[in-house]
Amino acid sequence: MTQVAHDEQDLVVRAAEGERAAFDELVRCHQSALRGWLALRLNRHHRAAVDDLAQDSFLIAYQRLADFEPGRPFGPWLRGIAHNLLRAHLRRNRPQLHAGDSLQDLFDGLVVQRVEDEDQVDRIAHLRRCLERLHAATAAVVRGHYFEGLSLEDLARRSDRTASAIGMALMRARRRLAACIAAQGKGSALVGGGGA
Amino acid sequence: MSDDIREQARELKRRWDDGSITPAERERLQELVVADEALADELVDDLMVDRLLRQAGAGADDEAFVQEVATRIDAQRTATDRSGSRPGHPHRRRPTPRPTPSRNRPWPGILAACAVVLLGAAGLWLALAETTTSVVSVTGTATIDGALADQGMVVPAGAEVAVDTGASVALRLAAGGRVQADQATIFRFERATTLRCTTGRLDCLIDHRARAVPFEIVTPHGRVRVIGTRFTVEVGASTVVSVEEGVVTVRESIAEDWRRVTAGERAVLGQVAALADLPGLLVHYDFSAGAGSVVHDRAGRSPALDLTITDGDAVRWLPGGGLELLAPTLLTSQQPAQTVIAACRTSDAVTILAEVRPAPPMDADDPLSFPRRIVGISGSTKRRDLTLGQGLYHGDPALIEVRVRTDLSDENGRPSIASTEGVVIDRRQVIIFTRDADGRCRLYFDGRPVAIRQVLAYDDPPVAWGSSAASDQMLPGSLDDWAADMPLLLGAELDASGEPKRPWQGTLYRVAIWDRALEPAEVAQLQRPGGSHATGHDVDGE
Repeated sequence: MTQVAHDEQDLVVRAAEGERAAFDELVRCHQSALRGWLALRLNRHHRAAVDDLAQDSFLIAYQRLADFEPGRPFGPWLRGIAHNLLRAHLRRNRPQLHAGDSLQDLFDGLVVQRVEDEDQVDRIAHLRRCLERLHAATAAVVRGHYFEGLSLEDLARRSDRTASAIGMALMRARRRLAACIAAQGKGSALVGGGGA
Repeated sequence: MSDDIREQARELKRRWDDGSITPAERERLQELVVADEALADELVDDLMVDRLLRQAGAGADDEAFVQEVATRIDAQRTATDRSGSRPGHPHRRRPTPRPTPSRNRPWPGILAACAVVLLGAAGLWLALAETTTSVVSVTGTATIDGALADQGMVVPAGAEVAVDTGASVALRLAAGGRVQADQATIFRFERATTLRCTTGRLDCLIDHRARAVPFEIVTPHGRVRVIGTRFTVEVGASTVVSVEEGVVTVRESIAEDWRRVTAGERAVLGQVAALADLPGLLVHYDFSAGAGSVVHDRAGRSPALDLTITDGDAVRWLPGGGLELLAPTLLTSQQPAQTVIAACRTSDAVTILAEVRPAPPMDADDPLSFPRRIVGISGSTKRRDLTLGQGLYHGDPALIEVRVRTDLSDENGRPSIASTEGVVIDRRQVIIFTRDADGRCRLYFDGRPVAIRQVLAYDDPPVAWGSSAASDQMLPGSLDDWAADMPLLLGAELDASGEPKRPWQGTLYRVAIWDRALEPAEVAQLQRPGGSHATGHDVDGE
């Protein structure tokens, strides 16, 4: 067992014995990867549910610590909980949100096929590192849209370009980020043609 | 697939992203994706990065997420304990709790009002000409990360905005719209689209437009997500959301589901019961009489343990509630505090709450004048059951010390517990001490646990610490040793000759004692009206 895995087992044991700080540390260690895992599986109609489902997963994990089998890795067990919550959420919310959007269904299905692997890659962490490597002007557009909540029109006004030009710039940026994330993950695919 | 076709597909995907795609274009894009695997992979990559970026940009920051999970766990544990059942609880058993009345709400706690409301001015709508959050106007004292706010000042991401009582500040949002706040409001922009408000009131006018990232306000009790509207958020002991136009969705910290609040409706998050509803309350003084020489016990038990002010000229009643101790005096029960003593001897646990504003101590240079007694059950300066005081004998005059007599301590309740950080002089704050039946002690300032240490002795060296600092310390032993003949005293205690000694100066707002250790979630609810505020100039009703 690696040192990281050993430390994690120690946290799980201590959390099961009632040490809250140990469980808080487990949350800290796994929250980014779990939220990224959920974010990939939830399209724009369910985007707001990512953090809610992630929190629910940790709450259930806390309640079921006594059921957790010692020696097993915590991440996959946690994702199993999240997977069940995800399915229930989609069952409850699908009819209201995008009935009949076959293109959305197509893309959702393709994403699920791509990420069906149960690896423990923290893609959000990879993404953050890759963001730092973007050219400054490109990073500004990406941060403006995704982190500051600016619309394409807002960004276009700021840079004296059209909204469609901003949209294409964002696509090019995402392509670069995809290649970078795949390189960070070293085989956990986020590159065209890469398997999962 | 030719480059032209690939480029066409990318353009169609872009239009699909921003919602401008036509039905015919949608069908065309679907055909292209199905027909070419490499194109499908490229567009799926794009979609996945888009989803990761939206999560990275819109989700709570990492530590805030951890804290929200911790808050929900605490809330669920409190709710579970209230119902008396712990199905499948993985943790070790605590001592058998006293029977508690059944409750409808999962949140016991106190309603400490004081949302300071600023109703937005005359519909000032700010067009989105700027893409930074900046100050539109400021009246009185407001700060941004400690620096005085001024018109035109940019509010960077992560900055904390604090608005003093009587002051007002209006901000234009980078995310589009306006937020106005005044009167003891504190909030912080975690990012351009997420604002965390810990106390006060915000009047929000958010631009009606499609958002890449929803605008949210996070409070201690839940979240308010903007769909496009005008609304107010008042944060005190609970969060009240009032919608004037449009609709928002809200979610309690302990809940799973969002619910809509539409124009004309109002939602309350984190609604809690009054302090008096917390089980095990033995005495409760709210200093609301406004006049006279008697401080009434509002706990509702019989007999009530009213207190008599020994020197009426040494105190001043505050119009909005509170009693200022201007000179050495003593508030004492006329009989021994037998109901308190008997209950704590049975439960082996106790909680003391003291909401106070400490005055600069007189005789601060005289180390023998400390600790100053705030609340206690004692017979003399060397014989006590319980005392919460300010300052250490021969030590820091701002630390809080608590002495609890057990069968393992001396008659003076030593070794004792002391905080490692001091209270703030001339600032209103809530101090809560808990000791459970195992002897585990905790101390909180305004709902926040503070590190504490054991105090063994005072003379050699000035303070002899018995432990390193930690969030809890043990004072083991049974409270069955409590003497039954001691009165309850506030503001001082009696020496052997019956003279007031160790007088404390400041203002008393609330004092309460329970016969159990309140849970952290319950303590978090017992915030003072208006919450903590850096300036210390809050509403006293004067």
